[in-house]
Amino acid sequence: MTENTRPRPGAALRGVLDRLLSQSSEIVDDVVASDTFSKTLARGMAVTAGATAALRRSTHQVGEFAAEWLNVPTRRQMIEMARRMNHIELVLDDLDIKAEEVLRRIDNENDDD
Amino acid sequence: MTDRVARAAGAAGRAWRATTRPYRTWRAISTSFQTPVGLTPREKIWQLNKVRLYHYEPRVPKEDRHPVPLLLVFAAINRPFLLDMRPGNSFVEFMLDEGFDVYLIDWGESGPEDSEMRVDDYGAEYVPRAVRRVQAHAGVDEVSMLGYCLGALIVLLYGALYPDGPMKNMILLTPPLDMSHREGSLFTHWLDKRWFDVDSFTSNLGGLLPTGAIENGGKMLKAVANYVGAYVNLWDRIDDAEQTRNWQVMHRWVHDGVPLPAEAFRQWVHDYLWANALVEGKHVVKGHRVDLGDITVPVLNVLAKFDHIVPNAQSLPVAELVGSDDVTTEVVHAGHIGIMAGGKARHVLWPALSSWLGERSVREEG
Repeated sequence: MTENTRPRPGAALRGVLDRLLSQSSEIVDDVVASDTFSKTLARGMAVTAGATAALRRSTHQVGEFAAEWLNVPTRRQMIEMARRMNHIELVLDDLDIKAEEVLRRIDNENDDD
Repeated sequence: MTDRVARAAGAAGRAWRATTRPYRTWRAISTSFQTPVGLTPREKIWQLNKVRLYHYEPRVPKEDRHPVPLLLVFAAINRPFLLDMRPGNSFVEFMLDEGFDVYLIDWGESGPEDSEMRVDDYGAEYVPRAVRRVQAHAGVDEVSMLGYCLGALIVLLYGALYPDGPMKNMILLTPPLDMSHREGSLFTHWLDKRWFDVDSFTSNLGGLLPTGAIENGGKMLKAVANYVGAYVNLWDRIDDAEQTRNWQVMHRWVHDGVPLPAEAFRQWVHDYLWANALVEGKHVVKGHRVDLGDITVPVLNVLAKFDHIVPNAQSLPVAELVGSDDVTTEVVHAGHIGIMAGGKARHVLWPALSSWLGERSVREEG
């Protein structure tokens, strides 16, 4: 028996797998493109977000209470502080840009003189 | 005798490879997050909040470089290392070799304090500041910009808000612009207002759209190919070290997303997707109506023929909407990610981008 005619069960199995993937891909693509899937997905996202939100809110409440009791900054205060820092950074960046413009104009005037 | 030994050795090697294939495949998957990426030398020249601006170390002497630098703007929902994957397979490295001075905006990872950030803020607050830094760092007046996917939308927004410069050239890769075209776009179908309540959804998110939602949304567009086929591909190529490394980089990129501020997602769905306000000329940012017709710089609009994320119909109207006389539309035979990261990108898209940009990266006299 030559190499070419030797039975290859692995190749046959692979052929089956490839056909299965290709055909199941077409089926799944049709399913995810349907209105029913979109509605179900939207409902699923809403339910998941709603359920985790309730858990998150109660965890936050406990965390806030514990932080206040321990007299350390709460998560809400830290987020608020980070927001203020971001705002200050933006203002400083604006000032930096304006300062650069002023310096450039002074340089240009000195060059003209 | 020697032949027999060689045959035996070959058979033993094949048997070893076949036996260890499952382990090597599993190892490649589990170590993909350790794959080094973004190795092109660079320096952070500016940072504001999470946003960082990088300058890549030039690879061509200054006198041989194009006089107009290139600023890369990637989508805010993924890491930008898709543009700088590995040495020898990096768009950034390619453009540096072509003589461009390359800068990159990395949006970073949003935190709960950024939950009120809108899509408009990327184009109206951060890009103008980054462009100023590029001008100052490079000592130039004009800057070319390349935006990819949502990054292209941000570049369009910036270009329309600042029509008098300093943008010199605009390259858009698969911009998701005209959302009135919904054929072939599963994202727009899933997020249709008939069944998706974005306000209720985002109010329950805790400030950020989780990376898992974005990642799985992307993967569900081609569910079997992404959830199963990708691993079958790895199984097939596990004996090829180079291809395995490329697979690991892509696997890492797909699973290493960044959360999007919930308000940015809400605004995108309301204004850009449902109202199509940018295309309709009804989009207002900081009191200014955004008119894409104000964009007069040369525009290269690149579409991916097999794009299942942004259908060509959503990107094509760029040519009609911008006010530029010099608009080129290129359709590349690849998918949304493949145009930039596929095996042929280095030989197809990258040289085309370099050639188009090189011709237009000439400094204005006076």
